[in-house]
Amino acid sequence: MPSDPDVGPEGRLLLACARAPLHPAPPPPPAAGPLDPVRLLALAERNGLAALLHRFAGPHLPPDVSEPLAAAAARCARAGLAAAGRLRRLAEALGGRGIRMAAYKGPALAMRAYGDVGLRSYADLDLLVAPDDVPAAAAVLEAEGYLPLHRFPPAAEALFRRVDGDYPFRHPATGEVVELHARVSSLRFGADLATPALLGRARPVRLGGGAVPALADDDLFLALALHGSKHRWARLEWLAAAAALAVRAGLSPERMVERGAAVGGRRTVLLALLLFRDALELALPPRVERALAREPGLAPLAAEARGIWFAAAAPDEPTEANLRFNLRLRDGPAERARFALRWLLVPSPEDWAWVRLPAPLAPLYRLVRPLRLALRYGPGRGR
Amino acid sequence: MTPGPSTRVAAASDQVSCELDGEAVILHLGEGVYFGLDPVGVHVWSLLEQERSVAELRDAVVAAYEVDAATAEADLIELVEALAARGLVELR
Repeated sequence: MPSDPDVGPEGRLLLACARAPLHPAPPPPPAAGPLDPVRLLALAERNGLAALLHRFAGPHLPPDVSEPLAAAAARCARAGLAAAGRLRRLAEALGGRGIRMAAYKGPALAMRAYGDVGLRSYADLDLLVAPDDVPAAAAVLEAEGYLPLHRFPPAAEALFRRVDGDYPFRHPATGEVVELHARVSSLRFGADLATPALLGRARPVRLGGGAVPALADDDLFLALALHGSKHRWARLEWLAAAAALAVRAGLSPERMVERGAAVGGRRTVLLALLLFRDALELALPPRVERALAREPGLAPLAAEARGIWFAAAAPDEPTEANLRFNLRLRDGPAERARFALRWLLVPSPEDWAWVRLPAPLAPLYRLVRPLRLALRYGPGRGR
Repeated sequence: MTPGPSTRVAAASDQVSCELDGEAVILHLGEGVYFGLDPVGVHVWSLLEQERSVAELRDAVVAAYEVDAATAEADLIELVEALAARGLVELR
């Protein structure tokens, strides 16, 4: 089991804080040695760990770190409370219109993972609704003052809802973003979690004096594994929250691998578990260890994720790197070919915005997309 | 309503809270106003996840901290009044 590689004292301290929520009585943070305050604070912010670092190590840090960290944790706490309040209000508004929804990530995950909405930082709220309820749920968001960031040609909307299904909305006055999801993960990434079943298994998560429906713990774990791999697990806090959820909920790693396999995400779940073991020092059952031993291709992916956490700067071109990462994560040549073809041929909002075709010509967007991608990413092209 | 030992206290529905530096930060959702509680207040707030009487809260505080019952009750009444004035608890 690799322990902390050469991540410096700042990286070791952040890893210790990411592990802390996994223990009922977390051990004191390690003696980190001389710290670079600028690097520590930058890495904590970039990895979404400022609040956890403040909670578990704040009193042990020198004032040049602890004071700005306390300010960051206070901002995180206030933002978390405000987001929880918005989630309560939106859940009530959707429920009032008879629309079933389930929250995931954001405050719902903060409660399930840490029992505290102030320990995660999140830029938006994620609400899952049944695909057929998207128009009604969008109308509720617009009535609450949010404006859609995407406008689709009618012929494209049905395809988008079936394949991607994420609809961002922004409040023009406050800048708050809410993402309405008809799916927890785009079909482009291969895994197919059926939204009606997820909504049927949702259960309430308590937020202050009320509760909102949220994904069941095992469904939430799968959603987090898919989200993490989609973005190369680029923030250490994503991993910390997924692991804390798994530990608090008593999820069985073997069962999670089986569930992942059932929806086309076996290697995605195995990668999450590999990172739990190597970065967060969580012991895995022998059956999962044997499964990992049969998947040597996952170790380089885990190493790539760990490299992002403590790199000097955030990666420059995450889209291309994320695509390469997810291509390598697919299970075998046939899955990789399917993944590549979906990316090449299934149009996205960028394609519909790039050129507007009349409705009868909508099928031609399958040709527009490869052309647009070639012009954008082809050899010698600017970005 | 002036609370007394038999007054029952329940956290209001229109709030969310979190912990910060061992203290509690409570946001009233309707007013958008934040309210802070010290560590003893955090303990009392956690007890209010279910409705309790001031006397029950007093006994819990006396059991957890080195304080006599009269002082604890007076402090609790002051706290409960402050919370009620901000709409964060309901008194029955």
